[in-house]
Amino acid sequence: MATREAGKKMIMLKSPDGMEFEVEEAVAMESQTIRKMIEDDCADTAILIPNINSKILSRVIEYCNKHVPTTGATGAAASDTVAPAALAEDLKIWDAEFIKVNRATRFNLIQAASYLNIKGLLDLTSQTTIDTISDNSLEEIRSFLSTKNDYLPEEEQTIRRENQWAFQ
Amino acid sequence: MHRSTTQRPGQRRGARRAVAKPDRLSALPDELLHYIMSFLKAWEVVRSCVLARRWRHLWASVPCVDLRGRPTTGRYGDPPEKFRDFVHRLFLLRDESAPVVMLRLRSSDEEAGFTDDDASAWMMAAIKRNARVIHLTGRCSEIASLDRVSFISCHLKVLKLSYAMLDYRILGQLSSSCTSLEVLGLKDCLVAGPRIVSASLKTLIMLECEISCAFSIAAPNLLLLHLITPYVRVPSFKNLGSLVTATIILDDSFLGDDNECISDEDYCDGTTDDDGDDSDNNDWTESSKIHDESSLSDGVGYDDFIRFGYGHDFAEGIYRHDRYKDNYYYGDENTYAYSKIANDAKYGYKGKDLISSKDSIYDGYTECSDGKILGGRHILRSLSSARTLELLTDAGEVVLSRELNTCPIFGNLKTLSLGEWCMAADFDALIFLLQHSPNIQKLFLQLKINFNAKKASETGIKL
Repeated sequence: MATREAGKKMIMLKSPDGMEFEVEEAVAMESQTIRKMIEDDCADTAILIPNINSKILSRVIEYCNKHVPTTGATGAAASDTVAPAALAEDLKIWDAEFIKVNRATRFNLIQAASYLNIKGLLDLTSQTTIDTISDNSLEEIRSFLSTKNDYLPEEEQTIRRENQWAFQ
Repeated sequence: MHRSTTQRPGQRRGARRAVAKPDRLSALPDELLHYIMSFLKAWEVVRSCVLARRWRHLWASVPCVDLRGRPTTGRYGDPPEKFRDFVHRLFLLRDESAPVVMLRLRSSDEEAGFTDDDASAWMMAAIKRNARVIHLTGRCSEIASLDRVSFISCHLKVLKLSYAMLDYRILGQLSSSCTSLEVLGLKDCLVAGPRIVSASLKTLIMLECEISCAFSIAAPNLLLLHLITPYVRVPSFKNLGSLVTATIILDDSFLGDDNECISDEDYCDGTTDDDGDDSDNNDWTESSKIHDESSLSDGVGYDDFIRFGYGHDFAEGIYRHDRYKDNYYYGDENTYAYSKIANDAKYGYKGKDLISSKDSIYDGYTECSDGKILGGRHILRSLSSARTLELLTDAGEVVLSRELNTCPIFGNLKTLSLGEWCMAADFDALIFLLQHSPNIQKLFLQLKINFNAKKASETGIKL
């Protein structure tokens, strides 16, 4: 839907660990970063994606593949041919499955989504992170985020007192 | 990034640090942390200050302020008891130079102890801090008054209101004092003013709004229009020369000034709970997705804290954000549910208001000869530039049939979706519309063969 039927243009994406992924241009352009590169003609042969290993990159491509038809360039016309509600529902279920990954992978996905500027994926990963956080106590959150509490105990008390208005 | 952990306090643990996993979230830049924090409620954002040094002041400049409560209890995320004081301090202690890019709030909440006036004051505070996106979720039991809000801002791009009253003054401000307003979403609002005129508006969504007097919309740069089941009157449109996509759904049983007489049974007939709920969500969530160009604007709020600017998918993201949050957290509230009770309550209110505002201020002015069915004059003509058009009204509907008289040539029209109204009198309307659409490529007929079926069956004919 998003590309012309004949002659779909392919783009080569390379991860720093040497893997190459050939994807349709429309799929790659789900990433605003890559879209910009393509539009600026900086992407003739292969695009090196720094800092994103092949495992994460393949997941990201999987996500883009799934999401490309609904946000296709033809926009309005595309959504007319499929019942949008069913499609959205389907995507939601797919997303929920997709994001069932361990924490490390999820953080890597956040970083990748941020670098590649894929809004949908960034939202999905952020929301999932937050959903997990808000169920837990502070200490659990810290361990979940792998954030070290670098406050001295008395320091933490002071900060808590300072911001008491938000804790009451 | 890890600077803080190498300093004095962590020394005891420092020995283990070499083997410990890296501090994952702290490896992310501030703006990405801000982004993730924008999914938190405002008080949760502030409470993050105790996580670690890095987080101590992050909250003060988080661009998204979400003041909506969360119905669950006993979790870390319980809102502060003195909610008004909390919000007051929040605005007071926030980093002054950091804009409140996005504000989400409810119009009032008895449990949290704040009223319309408080919500208005918070909106004003956000507008003063260059808010670009404001989402106000009202309560279906009463229409929120915006008397104390002045929408005067050259930054405001997206305004979404539900269960709020838009009077002459508010409409005037949205017209002339919000020079960047691109997306206006109104759901279950009461529109009691003559017009809105906006050169910046690109997306207009009116979902089940009551139009209590002759109301016209002039928006020469509007790209996307959703007019879904207006009550009492159909608005009229002027200067929609840029329009690309329009969806119009009219229901005669909600139109006309004898509305008070409609029984509950009739009323619910039109919007069954399931149907209403579903389409409702879709309309909010799909509306900008359908339309790429217009949705650009919606994402603007985020460009401050995303490194790579924004693309046209951003709007969808915000809507999706909505979908996750609202459906998840507010799923059981009646904001988005059309229970019978909600209908009754709302209806009762609207009915009452209708009498007073029409009689006293607008004197029951009618603009069409049909008497009962009001407004919508030249509605088809004003849609003439659309590429995609959905006219999804039921059989026997009056306004669109009447307007066929002034039907223009739809020169750009590629995709047309029609409801049952077009099939009356041997498909007269259908034939007529096709004759006026020289470039049409797709025609969809959405027929409600089984009225209770959730999805209207679709027939697609490729021309």
